Amino acid sequence: MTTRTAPFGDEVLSDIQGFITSGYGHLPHAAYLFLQFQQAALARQWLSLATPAIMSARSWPIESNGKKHKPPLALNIAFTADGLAALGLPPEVLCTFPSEFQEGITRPDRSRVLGDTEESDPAQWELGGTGTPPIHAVLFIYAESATALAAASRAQRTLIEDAQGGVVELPGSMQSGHRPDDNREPFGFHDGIAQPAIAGIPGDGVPTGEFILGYRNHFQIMPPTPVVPAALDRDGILSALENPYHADRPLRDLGRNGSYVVYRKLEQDVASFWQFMKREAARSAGTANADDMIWLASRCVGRWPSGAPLALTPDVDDPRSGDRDDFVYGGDTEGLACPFGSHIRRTNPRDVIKPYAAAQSLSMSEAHRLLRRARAFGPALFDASILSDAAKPEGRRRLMELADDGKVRGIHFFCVNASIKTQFEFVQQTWCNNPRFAGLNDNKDPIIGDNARTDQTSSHMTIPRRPLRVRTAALPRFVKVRAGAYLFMPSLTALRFLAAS
Amino acid sequence: MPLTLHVIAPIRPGEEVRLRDVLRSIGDDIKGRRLSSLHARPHIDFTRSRKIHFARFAILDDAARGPGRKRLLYASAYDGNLDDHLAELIAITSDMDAIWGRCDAYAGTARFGEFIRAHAHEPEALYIAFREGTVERIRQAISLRRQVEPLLDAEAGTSLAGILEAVSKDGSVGRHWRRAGRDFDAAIERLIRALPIVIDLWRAIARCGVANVFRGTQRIVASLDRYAVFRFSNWITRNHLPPMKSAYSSVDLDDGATTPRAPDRAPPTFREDVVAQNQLTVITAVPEGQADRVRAVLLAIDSYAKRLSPDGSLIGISTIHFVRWLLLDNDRRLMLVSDYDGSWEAYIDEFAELILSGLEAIWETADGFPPGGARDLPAFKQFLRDGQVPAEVFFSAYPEETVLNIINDLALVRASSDAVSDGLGDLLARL
Repeated sequence: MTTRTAPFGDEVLSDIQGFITSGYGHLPHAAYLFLQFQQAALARQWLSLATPAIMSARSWPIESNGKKHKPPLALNIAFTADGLAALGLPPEVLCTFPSEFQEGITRPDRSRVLGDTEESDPAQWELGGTGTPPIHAVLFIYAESATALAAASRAQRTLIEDAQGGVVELPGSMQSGHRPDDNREPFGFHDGIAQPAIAGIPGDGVPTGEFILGYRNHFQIMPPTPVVPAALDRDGILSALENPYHADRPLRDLGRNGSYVVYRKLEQDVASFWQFMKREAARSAGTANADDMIWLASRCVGRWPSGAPLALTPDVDDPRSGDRDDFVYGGDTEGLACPFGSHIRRTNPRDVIKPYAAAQSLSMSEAHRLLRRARAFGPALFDASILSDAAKPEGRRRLMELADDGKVRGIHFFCVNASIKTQFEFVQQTWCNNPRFAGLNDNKDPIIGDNARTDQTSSHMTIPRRPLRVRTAALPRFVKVRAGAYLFMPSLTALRFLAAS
Repeated sequence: MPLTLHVIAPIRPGEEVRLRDVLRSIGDDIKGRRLSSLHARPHIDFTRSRKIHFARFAILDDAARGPGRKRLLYASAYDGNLDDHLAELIAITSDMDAIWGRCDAYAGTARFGEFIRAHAHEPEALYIAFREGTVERIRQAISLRRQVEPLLDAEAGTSLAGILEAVSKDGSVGRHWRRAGRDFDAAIERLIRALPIVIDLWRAIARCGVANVFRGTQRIVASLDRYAVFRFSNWITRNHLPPMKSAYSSVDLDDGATTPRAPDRAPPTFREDVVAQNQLTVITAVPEGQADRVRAVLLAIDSYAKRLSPDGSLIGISTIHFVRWLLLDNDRRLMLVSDYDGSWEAYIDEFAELILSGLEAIWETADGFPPGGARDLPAFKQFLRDGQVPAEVFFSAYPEETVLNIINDLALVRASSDAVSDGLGDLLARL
């Protein structure tokens, strides 16, 4: 299901932050600075100095050799509700943001639904949790090389220091992320393949309003947007809100061309993941071998390590299909190729949401898409190329003896959506953490689900198969949440307003 | 077939707080949050019940009796007859007076049936996912599945696979005939069930007038273009949802997180989103003179649900166990009472996706219905949230089973007892 929209012109694109439209694949090194505003006026002054350097979505110029001139550095910024308040945004404006954004990611009832409990409890987070100082803003820095990243980070820190204490970096909070050369996340699977195209940027795709405020969404409605009374926008920076239902008072649109970003630092226990696959492979086959481990792990993910979707090639990995996303589950309504409970089938069920018809299912899936902007952290535990290369027997032997090296690794998960409630939270609650997804019994997302909760029945991974299905032992939690935040990523115009008001 | 009960009784002035307190602690018992003091306070031991599918208590406003007055709602779905249900309720309630004694006109357990009948309301529309599904039968099906699951995990499963394969090869002709016969019987049964639609129609016309019945039905199917028959009839009668007035939403600009509109009303975001099943009670105002229009729509839904809907699916929606609509207060209020699967957001989205025109038909006349209609989903969700009353007590006899799970579990029972190995094989392949 794609929506046709005329490509956006540069006047619109130059108002949207580049983070929303690009994963900056050509900039493999990333740093995330977590900031706190101590004094509103000084912080706004800092913001007005930082804003001109913020990367927009404006199309990159074409050089004389016909290639795109990709920028060597990218800078973006997003704010929490606390941060907007600390910048001096009054309550009458803050209350027009969606309630989940106002409340933040750590509310106890929200944690229960997201699965942020026990070892993922916000009380234990490194950043953004209940026991750590509140995050006010995140500054995203992307660069071509580690040295360029260090230089850019230094420059940003100097700007922050120049703010005379109005802005501080949360001590020890800087996070760094990288895009691995082989695009594999720490478990060893090709990641970041299924990115929805945004209608209008530049071609057809998922309705723009699913990702950017100010445009029609899947339901042909503009997503609700935060607003400012016109009296507070004295310089007339923001555009007027054209909503006819609220024409009774003059309002300005603070949300237009902005979006919401969810941050979750996900720590992955790679050794325990593969040890589990080994135990389970041995349980069903008597002895374990690397092929069976990879087979089982791929059922949990829904793709082979190369990225090849099980829906297209259920029996053997086919690296040539490693970046394919043009598939549906219509030919696999029993889940015999790709299990219903697998990570990618839960997070985007495509054309098969039981018991609905394909058109309804596709439509329902479209209303809950996420743009992912993840980066890895920590060193790889093993050479993931062995997973797709049976010609490396010694590497595969190592897979069987994989042990933890005591280092932390995982991904900085970021996703962009116009509604955190109906997109990120919906996927997490209704699809990933739902033990009864698609008529399954006691299954949760084997990768990111809140498995092994003491107050719940244990969850398993069920793999449909003839004559008998395979069901794993109770799943442990391979991924734990270490940090998180709900962020608003304003348009460039809105940034100028925030800096000026 | 399970029956439903809806009791609305005025609460004595000044008793609301204490009653709410008692109900909340009963609700917490069910959620397993108050085990230690189980016997210290009034409780209802729902776990002992063998006939209650779902039950809830909620406290509603009672504007007609005066400001500040409240009334108690008890809604349940149960097997057997009303007297047995009430007897069971008395048997599992430790202190009837602590609950019902706080209502006007309650005169002790001996006259409980009389009291309940005097305050009971009949739904205009009722849908039951499993018309033949008693609590006993559903629980047995769950228990069979629970017994089979570990068998398939263990090594014994391997030999079971062998047995199945052997049985499957035995494709005897007799079995096919048996199956064809059963299909024929089922078709006859469906036809007999469907026939009284004609009577329903006359009854609806007599109660609501022919114009309302025609328009109401038409309104319901306006967005059902995925079915060829409706696509055709909608095309012929030019029956479509009106074009949207604006691409903007009329939803309140203040999202209500910091300043809840009605603190007593609006449940915390995820209050009802904890387990596999949830409940929804929504009360909306029907403007004067609109009741017949609303009733015509509800009677059409009721007739469809009774006569045509297959097990576990209401016009394609397969996440509802029980849902009923009632007109209250001399037709001035409409109450929705639903027991459903999954999250609130997902439930409403499903309606919007599958039967948008149905939502419009039911609520378009209601006070506070969004000017952009149900298609303005943020505003429609706010409309429902504004009318939603949190349940102080919510009990389910099978709290972890979705409608889809029950379909599977009942099919497992059928397949095992029939020994139709093909069907059993299909089930074992995905269990």
